[in-house]
Amino acid sequence: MQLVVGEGILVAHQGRPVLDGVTLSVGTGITGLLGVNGAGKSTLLRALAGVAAPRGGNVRIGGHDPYAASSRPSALRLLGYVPQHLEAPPAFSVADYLLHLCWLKAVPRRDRPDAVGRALAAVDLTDRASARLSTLSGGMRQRASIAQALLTDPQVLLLDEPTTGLDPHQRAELRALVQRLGADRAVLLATHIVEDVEYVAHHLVVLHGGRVRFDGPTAELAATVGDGGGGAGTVGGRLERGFLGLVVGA
Amino acid sequence: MIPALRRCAAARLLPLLLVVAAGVVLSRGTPWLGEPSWTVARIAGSVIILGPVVAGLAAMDAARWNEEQLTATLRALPRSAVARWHVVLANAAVGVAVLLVVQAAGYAANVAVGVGYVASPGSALLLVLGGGAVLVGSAAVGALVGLLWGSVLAAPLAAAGLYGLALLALSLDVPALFAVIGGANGMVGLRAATSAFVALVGFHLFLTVAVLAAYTLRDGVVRRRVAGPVLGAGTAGAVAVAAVLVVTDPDQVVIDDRPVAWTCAGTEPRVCLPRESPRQLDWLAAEMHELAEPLVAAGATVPATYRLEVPGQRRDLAEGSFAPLDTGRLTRPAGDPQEVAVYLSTPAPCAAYSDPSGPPPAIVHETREVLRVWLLVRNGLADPADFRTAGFGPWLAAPLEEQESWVRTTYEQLRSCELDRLTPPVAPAG
Repeated sequence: MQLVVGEGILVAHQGRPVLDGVTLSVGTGITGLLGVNGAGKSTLLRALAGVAAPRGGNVRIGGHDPYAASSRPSALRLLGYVPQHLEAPPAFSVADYLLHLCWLKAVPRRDRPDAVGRALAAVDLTDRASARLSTLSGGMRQRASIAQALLTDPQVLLLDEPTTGLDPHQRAELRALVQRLGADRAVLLATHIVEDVEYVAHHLVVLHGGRVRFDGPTAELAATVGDGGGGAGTVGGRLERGFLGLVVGA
Repeated sequence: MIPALRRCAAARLLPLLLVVAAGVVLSRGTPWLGEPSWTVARIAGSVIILGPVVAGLAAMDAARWNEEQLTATLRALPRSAVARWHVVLANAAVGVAVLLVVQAAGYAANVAVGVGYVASPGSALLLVLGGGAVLVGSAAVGALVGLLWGSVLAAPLAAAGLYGLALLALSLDVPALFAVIGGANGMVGLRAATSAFVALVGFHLFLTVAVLAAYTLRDGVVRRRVAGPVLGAGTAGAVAVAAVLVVTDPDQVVIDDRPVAWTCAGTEPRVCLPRESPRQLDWLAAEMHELAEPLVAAGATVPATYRLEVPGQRRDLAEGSFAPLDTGRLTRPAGDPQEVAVYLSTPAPCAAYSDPSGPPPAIVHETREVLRVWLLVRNGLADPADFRTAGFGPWLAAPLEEQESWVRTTYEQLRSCELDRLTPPVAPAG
């Protein structure tokens, strides 16, 4: 089942199109949203997450329109959105932040401690529950941000550049986490780093200049280029060449 | 309690708020200690400083919750429209809690010195409500400044702006919408004006509703049918109430013409103070009795009762009356014998003393001054030599029988308000 459906999404900024009729659908598993900086990935995720209504087109989350007052609660209940950087008032501890988000997500009071405990366990942050957010490393902050998205155990996760600013070890850990989360959810992972999606995404959407340039299985994009020898002969190398071929040639 | 309430700037700086509130209340001593109504008014008046501080803290919080990424997170949540209400509500709640704690401490201090009676609980409640409303409105204004500015610099801007507004209103003598006036002097015979405080509370209620609606409109992603009209109604209501207050300029404190409850002590004379401010009663009764002894010895008829002059209360001409120059002196456990001598030299509240057409004849002041000095000298509290150069100096050296004769006659004239028959003392010839 396609849990996230976007049809003909139009977003413009100062008269210039940022998203120009983007259509995509995301089902269970991990879908990579690949694009260079400025391709419109964050804008697309914000449109899909119900953060900013697109000028045109439709968005459906589990069949519900997040921009209609009547169906918005149903759509948002299915959704967990992780923006690029976690920002929170500095006085908050990890647990406080998550408890506050529970309130904003309308989690019943009696269920909040369990929801926070489950989310922290899912991202391996249980032992840092009382740490202030401002004292966490970049990787931990990113995991805390993912934890807030998991509070309602959503069927859909929208992750915006979750590995940005992380060192190689932290990136590897985060990719493993995303892989676990994608086992039973629809995960849309936006990134400009091919390596992030190379091993975890079964499906890829390549966005460039506000338009979808590729929408298909990851292996299909890798298969579009031949083995040029050297490093480019690996799956990752072919995927990167395929991606560059789409965006440079566009 | 949701964490944002515990983690709001006002909650984290709770000790600072308590120090600020207590500092304002104690900044000019504790003349209010001994009169609970005055204490309530003085503490309510502290919102002129506490309000801007709360506004600054709310502005700081609002700016911190204004971060773009955080905004994005909040907007993707079911309660996005109310996600930032806590910035206003939490800081306001902490500010009001601080005010209530200081009020409770003030009342406890009064009970500790033996005064727990509040003459007009309704008036006290209005003062507390007014102070609380100013704090809620201040938090709303601060949050709005933080929302619009989006920088922590909004905090000093909001605080200084609000304080400046209050000072400007006071200096221009227009209603101070962010201040509670009261507490400079005692509240005996006075009460909070219901209409002025209802308007003040209404203004801040409308203002707060408008700010919350502005937050809802800004953060709400889908079109809200209610928020727009609520913003309009809140803004219109606040502007309308402010306009009414500016045009009508009502006093926040007015004379209370309801009968005063009295408590009395002593004999020759019996002294009566309002039950809400009786702290000096025992000392005053004993001191009046002692200082009056030379009058009694001279054969003067000292009024059976001396009663404090209270605004709005009808005075009994058969009673002596007294009015301290500073109401704060009456709340001290002991007063000044010099001032008691002044009280005794006024054995009746003659109409001429409060005649709006002009002051009483100079002879009245002169004879009362002679009586005052005579009482002090006879009680050993003043040296006649200090008055050698005064017009009545030689008279003070006259035989006691001559002094007592003038005192007896003059005191009776003052007591019966026959002021036109008063004559100055005449020194013996030679």
